[in-house]
Amino acid sequence: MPELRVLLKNIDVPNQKDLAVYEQDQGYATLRKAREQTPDEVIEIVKTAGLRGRGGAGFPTGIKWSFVPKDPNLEKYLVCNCDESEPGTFKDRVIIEKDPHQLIEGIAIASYAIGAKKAFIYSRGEFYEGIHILQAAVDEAKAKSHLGDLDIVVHTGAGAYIAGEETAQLDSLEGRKAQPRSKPPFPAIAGLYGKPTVVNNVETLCNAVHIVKNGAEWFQSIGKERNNGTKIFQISGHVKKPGVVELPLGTTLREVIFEHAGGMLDGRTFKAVFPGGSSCSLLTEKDLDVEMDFDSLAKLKTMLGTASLIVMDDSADMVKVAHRLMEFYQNESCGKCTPCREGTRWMVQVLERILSGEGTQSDLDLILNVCDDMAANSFCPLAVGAAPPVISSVVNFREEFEAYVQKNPNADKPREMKVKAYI
Amino acid sequence: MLSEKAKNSILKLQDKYPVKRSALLPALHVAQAEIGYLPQKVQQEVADLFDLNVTEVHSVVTFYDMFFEEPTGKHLLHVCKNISCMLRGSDEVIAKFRAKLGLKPGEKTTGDKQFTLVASECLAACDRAPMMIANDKVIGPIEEKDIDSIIEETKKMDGHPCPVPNIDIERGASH
Amino acid sequence: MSTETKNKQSENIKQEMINLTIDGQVVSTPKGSTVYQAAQQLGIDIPIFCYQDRMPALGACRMCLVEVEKMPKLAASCSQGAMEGMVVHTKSKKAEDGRKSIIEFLLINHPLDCPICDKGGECPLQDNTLDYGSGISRFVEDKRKLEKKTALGPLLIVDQERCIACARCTRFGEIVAGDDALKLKDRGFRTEIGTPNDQPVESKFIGNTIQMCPVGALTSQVYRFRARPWDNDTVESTCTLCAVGCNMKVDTRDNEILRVRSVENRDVNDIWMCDKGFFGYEHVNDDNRIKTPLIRRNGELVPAGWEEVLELIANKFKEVKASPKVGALGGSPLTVEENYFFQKLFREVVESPNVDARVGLSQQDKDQEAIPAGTEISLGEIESLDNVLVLGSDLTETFPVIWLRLKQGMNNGAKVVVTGHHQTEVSPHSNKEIIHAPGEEFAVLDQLEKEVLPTLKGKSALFIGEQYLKSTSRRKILSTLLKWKKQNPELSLNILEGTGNDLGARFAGMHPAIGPAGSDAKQTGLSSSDMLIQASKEPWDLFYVAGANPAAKVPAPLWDQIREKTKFLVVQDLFLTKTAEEADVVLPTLSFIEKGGHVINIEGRIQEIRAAKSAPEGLLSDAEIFTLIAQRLGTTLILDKEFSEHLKVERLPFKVPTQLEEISASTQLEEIKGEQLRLSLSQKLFDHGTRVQYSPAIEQLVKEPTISIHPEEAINRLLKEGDLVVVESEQGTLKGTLKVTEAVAKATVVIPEGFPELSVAQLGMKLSNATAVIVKKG
Ligand SMILES: Cc1cc2nc3c(=O)[nH]c(=O)nc-3n(C[C@H](O)[C@H](O)[C@H](O)COP(=O)(O)O)c2cc1C
Ligand code: SF4
Ligand code: FES
Repeated sequence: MPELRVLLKNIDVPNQKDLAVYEQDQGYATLRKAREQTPDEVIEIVKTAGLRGRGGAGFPTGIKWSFVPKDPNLEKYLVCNCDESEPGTFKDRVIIEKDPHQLIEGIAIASYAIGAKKAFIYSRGEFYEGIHILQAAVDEAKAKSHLGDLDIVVHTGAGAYIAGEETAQLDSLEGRKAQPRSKPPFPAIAGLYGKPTVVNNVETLCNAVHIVKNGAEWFQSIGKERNNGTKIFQISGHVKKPGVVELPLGTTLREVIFEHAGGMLDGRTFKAVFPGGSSCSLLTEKDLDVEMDFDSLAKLKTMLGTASLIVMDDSADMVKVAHRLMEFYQNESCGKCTPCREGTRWMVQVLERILSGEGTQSDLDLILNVCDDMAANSFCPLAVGAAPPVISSVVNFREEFEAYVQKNPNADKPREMKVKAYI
Repeated sequence: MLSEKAKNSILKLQDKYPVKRSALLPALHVAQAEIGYLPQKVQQEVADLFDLNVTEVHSVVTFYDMFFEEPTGKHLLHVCKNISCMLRGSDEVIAKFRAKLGLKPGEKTTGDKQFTLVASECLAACDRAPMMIANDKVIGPIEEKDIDSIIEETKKMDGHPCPVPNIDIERGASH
Repeated sequence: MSTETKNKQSENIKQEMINLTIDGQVVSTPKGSTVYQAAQQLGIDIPIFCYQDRMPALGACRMCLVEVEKMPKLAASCSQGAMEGMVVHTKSKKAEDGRKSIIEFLLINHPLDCPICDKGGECPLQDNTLDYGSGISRFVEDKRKLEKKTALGPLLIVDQERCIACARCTRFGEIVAGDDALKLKDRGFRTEIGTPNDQPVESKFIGNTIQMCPVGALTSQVYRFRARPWDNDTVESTCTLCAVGCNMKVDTRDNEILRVRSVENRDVNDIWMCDKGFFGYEHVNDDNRIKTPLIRRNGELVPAGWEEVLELIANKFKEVKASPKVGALGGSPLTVEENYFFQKLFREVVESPNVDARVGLSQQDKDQEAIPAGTEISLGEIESLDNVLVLGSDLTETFPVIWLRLKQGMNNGAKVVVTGHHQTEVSPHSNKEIIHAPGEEFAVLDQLEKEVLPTLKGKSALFIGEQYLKSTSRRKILSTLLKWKKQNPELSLNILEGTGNDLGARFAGMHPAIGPAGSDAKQTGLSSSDMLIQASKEPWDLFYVAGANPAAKVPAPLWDQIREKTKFLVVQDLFLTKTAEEADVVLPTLSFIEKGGHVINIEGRIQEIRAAKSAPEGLLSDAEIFTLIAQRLGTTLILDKEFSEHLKVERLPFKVPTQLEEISASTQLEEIKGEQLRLSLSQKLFDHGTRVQYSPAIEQLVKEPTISIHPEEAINRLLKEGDLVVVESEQGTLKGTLKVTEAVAKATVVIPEGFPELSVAQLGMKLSNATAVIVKKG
């Protein structure tokens, strides 16, 4: 199937980031159209369309918007989540650099729908170019009065994966350490500065533009039931043509990798893929025909996540992969809760030991066990995401771990404990 | 000491938010772009601009990866080490960079204070793996043969980038 | 803020109850409670670390996990709201396994140095490990290596390895004290606790964090390695180092005081104390304490026996009986009973009406004073106030724990307006602040009357402090506030002044115009300043000073004259104060930790102090000394029945007149001429008073005292920060170091009391706020 470019339609248009060029293809006409309807009508369209959040969790967007209290005296905020730090993910960057007005129009529509007069784009700080482009675009849109009474602030993060988690993002946006908050209350009730706040991903908000423009039915006609619309897949790793591809949800994994990403590098064979960024379980050869959508992937006990396919060929060392990813989560753990702070560190230590040839047989079950404990009892989803890539690597490629372990002459003996008991 | 320009930029940033504390991260970026890093004195100055205790500012500075409490080189090289880049050879790239820059194990900044090299987590350009950001410029895929020219090109740049748009600072203000 | 105001509102609405089942027992709990709170109601123990019930739940440590039916994951009971029909299991296998895994995680990087850890024996981590851990660790890697003993100032030591990042101490600084003293820095497993660059911690309340730390990460430098808790003897008592009167426990071993901890009293200190309370007891152990009575022979003080000195004093008393030139000074550190004996000894045995516990700068006569110190509301009520006006009170320096109670009130939604001559630690938390020069009080009150008074809704309180009270306009100011009270019956008046047992001394009758239990004195005596002024001019027969140091409280030349003209000077104290050094007889006595009796705090609450250790050999309490002297003169000092009945009530009533009549007493402000500024006397919690001087840990917290003025005044006088300056009043001069700060009002100079090295007393007797002075280069 050929690509179905909706969100990415204009990314190759020269100077698309300039307002004049954006306006040529009905730019901001949809916003005007939205404003001719009541906010509730706009929410209803998005609800009917069945748009699910593209930030990772897949929560229905229209429903999230409808949670916001209607009280006109309450200040409300929209926050566009452009923190994009999940390994393997790079779709939001493409949008803000190439077609920023599309996002701004989406933000304006969403703000209108929920009654927000102030919106924030929380961009990860490392998007030097994207932030400047966004700011210029916001200034231009404002100068040409497209935004009405809406104020959009382009905000700069400072390097923390956890700042992508919506409640941690709100703390960060308030000038604090990015640490997640307890839910409830959910942001839609008490978010930024304690006021009702909707946090949406860049891709989600861009989708809103096209839904309002083309109608809910049009959106439902793409993809599958409960998994409507297109999705920007990002493919990286051992493929010939890494990059972004926009396809209907439900396109098979095989098609994404072998048609759109050009297949494996010459002379190499497919080994495994993380289908939705790094925080999910990997899939192998036998799973290649899975349809890439929220529900089908959930059935395989993995996730669509950010639809970022990290593809590995036979040269990939799964112990190194597991170690590198766990190290990432260790570095990014905010440190608030015990299981994540201590568990990620412990697992890195064990994996390091295995890599250095000092692993033991019992380490492999220990990994599975501790990862479970960590994910089961953590405060927020970060640690929940840290476990599956490692667990699935051990489960699917146990022999690779064992090969490392066998380098240790004492592999079968339980390792001498430095401390046997606590007290 | 922060220049008056930088302080004014920070005050303007505060005006953008309903609560001025929200401008803390951008303000720290501004201060860092000007001074090159965030020594205690500068953290104190920023704290004063926000009516915060310096302990609070310090805990924020240490939480985020983009802030440096120690002096860095004039130019920042962030080479990605995360999974997509690793699969495409970032370990070797990082090793080559270190060798070319003459960094000893454990060192981050070159002796001539020209470069600081950070092996960073995913920088959201995995399609260009192995990739890096030199100051504010995204480069990739990096091939071994490019490394010399990347270093040379970077030298011509302004140095320590500031991600916050539309600000006015005096680079390298005294501290 | 919003959620808290909501909580408050819901308090007013009728409490809705919900029912849930925990471990098979049904419990009914107010809506909004957590599962943990509901379990507490049933007496079910759930282990916790990060949760501390004076702060909102954080849910971070995950120790309190329980199983809730129909929920996929274990829930953190400290933050999980209780819901109708919920079925909770705290002891199911799943819940127990969850907690075991948390203990395992907590211990992997926690050093097992329990045998040398001060927390050993009273460590929640140790206890929870025994109760809920699995006993075996699967962790075989290297533990985290970190700094084991970073001193953050003289009180606190941080052991980074032991920290479990529960955030209790950092949240205490954010939520309870508002001083942001300690922070968790960095992130993930690199999380550490402390201050930037390990700078000394800036706090008056750090002892609380040591007490709250659930592991041995925060320990006290003073207590470090001194004892194991199970060896300690503990006595409950009351702190008398300021007029809050925090309830405390004193731990001793082999008759030596090892530490002080706070004791919960919702009505007074809640569960808190200040660092002076936690560590200020150290003077009791100091080797400089006077060990025997001293007598002046050939110009020198030499040791003497009790018999001899008591006999000498008794004989002197016979000689001076009924002389108008006799006076008793002091009483603030003494118990109510001791003060009662002190005044009785003078009024009835020596027949002198000149008794006064107030030895210091400004003392008003009864008329000028108008209303004595005291609070209309109890300290426990502060948390539920809606509005507070803090007028001229530096709360954290004078009534530190009242600030903690007020901060909690602010957390619950109270609005706070602050006025005064300089900014204070409360300033950044206030909703509105007016900084003004001394003497401008009426303009400020006018402004408040127009702008603030009409907006006050709900329970409101006036806290009026020393800046306003030490003013010649005191009576007029108070009369304005009484007018406000008439307009707003929900406004309470709270007069915050004095230290130690000042209220107790007054109640016992150590006041020239007031007898025991607030009765009018049969014969009005001289105030301490009038006594001293008289004694500087004409011969004076005898001064008996107990727990006071007048030599440090009057200008030096004046003191020289007083001493020269005073024929006999008796000083009773713990240390050889400046006054004691010049005495004819010095009597050593006991500290508040070595004796029993009653004390009265700022709310008029009558509390007990109890001996936590036996008296040092050969020393007598103030009460014993007074009794023995009286005996030698044929009188037995006893507490009369009627008076002791007064000590049985919980709180003395705080009588607020409905209005104050105008009196002719001078309320005229001295005019300011040319370069003059107005003086404002300030107080410091950590000053160089006698007891702090001999408490080594607290002593290190004392900041060098300075003379502070506003930058504009500095420019006008060509002065800069750090200059040596001279302050001149009509009566004297004072040299000191200048501080230039925008925190001080214009046209004002702020000088702290309580520092011998910058003795503001040198500027004259009867100083008051707004006294005109000149500041110039020294
Ligand atoms: C550790 C972590 C990191 C996340 N990072 C991002 C991110 O970078 N961008 C994003 O849109 N959502 C991210 N999310 C998901 C957000 O919490 C949130 O679900 C999302 O922004 C909601 O937007 P949506 O409803 O439009 O998907 C992250 C979640 C977690 C737990
Ligand atoms: S799981 Fe815990 S430590 Fe990890 S990021 Fe979330 S709250 Fe922070
Ligand atoms: S006590 Fe509940 S999570 Fe810490």
